[in-house]
Amino acid sequence: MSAPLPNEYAPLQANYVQIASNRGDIIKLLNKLKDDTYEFLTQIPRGKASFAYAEGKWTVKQVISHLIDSERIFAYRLLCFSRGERKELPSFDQDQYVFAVDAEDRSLKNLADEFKATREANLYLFNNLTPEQLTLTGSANGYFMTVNGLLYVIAGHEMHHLGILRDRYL
Amino acid sequence: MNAPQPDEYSPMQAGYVQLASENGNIIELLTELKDRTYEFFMQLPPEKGDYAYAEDKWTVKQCLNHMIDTERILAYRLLCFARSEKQTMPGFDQDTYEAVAHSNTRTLASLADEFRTVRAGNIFFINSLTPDELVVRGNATGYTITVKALLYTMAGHELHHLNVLKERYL
Repeated sequence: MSAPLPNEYAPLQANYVQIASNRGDIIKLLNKLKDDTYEFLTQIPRGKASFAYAEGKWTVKQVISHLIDSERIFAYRLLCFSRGERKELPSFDQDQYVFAVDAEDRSLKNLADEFKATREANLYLFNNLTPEQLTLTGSANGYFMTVNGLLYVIAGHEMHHLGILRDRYL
Repeated sequence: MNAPQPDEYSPMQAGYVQLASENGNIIELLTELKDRTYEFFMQLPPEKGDYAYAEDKWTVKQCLNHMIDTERILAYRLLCFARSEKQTMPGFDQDTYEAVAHSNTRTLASLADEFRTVRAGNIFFINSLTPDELVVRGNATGYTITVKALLYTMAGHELHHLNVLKERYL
């Protein structure tokens, strides 16, 4: 499976697709990230959990909460597209979703555990996709995309946030 | 937590809510069903996976895959409603989904593993729900439903399919 063409994802997702490209098989990458991300998250010092690098920016826990929400929402879209869904699927307002939760009430470990458990569940979906399903298209948030394009978005979005955590938070 | 009131769900979900209401605490029930449902499918002879009780009916594997799809879709709605999502959530055509899903090429054990793993991921989310979030209403396919009633729908839908399997497939 090769990296998706520009008509397989939304323009605002090009950066994510770019990050996840040239890293070998996308399904293998998503499997590997389950553990890599978990290890990265559980090694963040507890004292950093509520840190934000500027006023108005998410805290570390809020970033993880956003990663979990995104993982669920992307997987929902992927499921629907891989079942031939033709309906337009809803967008989501990431700030509204993050600020609706009191992530401070939860431990870093518990959030990391949830991310890992959610990815583990989604890997069953990803690992069982047939070549035909990878080429199916659907529409979410007003953009057409392929199942293959969405897999790259999932991995790239995750790596993008891990990069920001590494560069600006730690 | 008490069972939801009739104005918390749509009439077509009443049967599911009823089934789940006979079983005590809903979060404990969903947690317990993770293993109970897994064991139910694992105790079947593997060849039973391809059985259907009439020509146009789903096989056991297809029923289980439908339970997994439904688990993912209801969990997506739960997440969105708990985050105060105001958009209407799309429905899904279960027969179309199942026709595209190639469930019969999978093993019963792989599908049972997937169900248990998806539920395990969702249990993290369900356990994180606050009393305020349980009463939030969202709109799915034109009906309003509370987060709490969605939990009952999730368990009741599962119990319904287990009952059908026991009565007509075994």
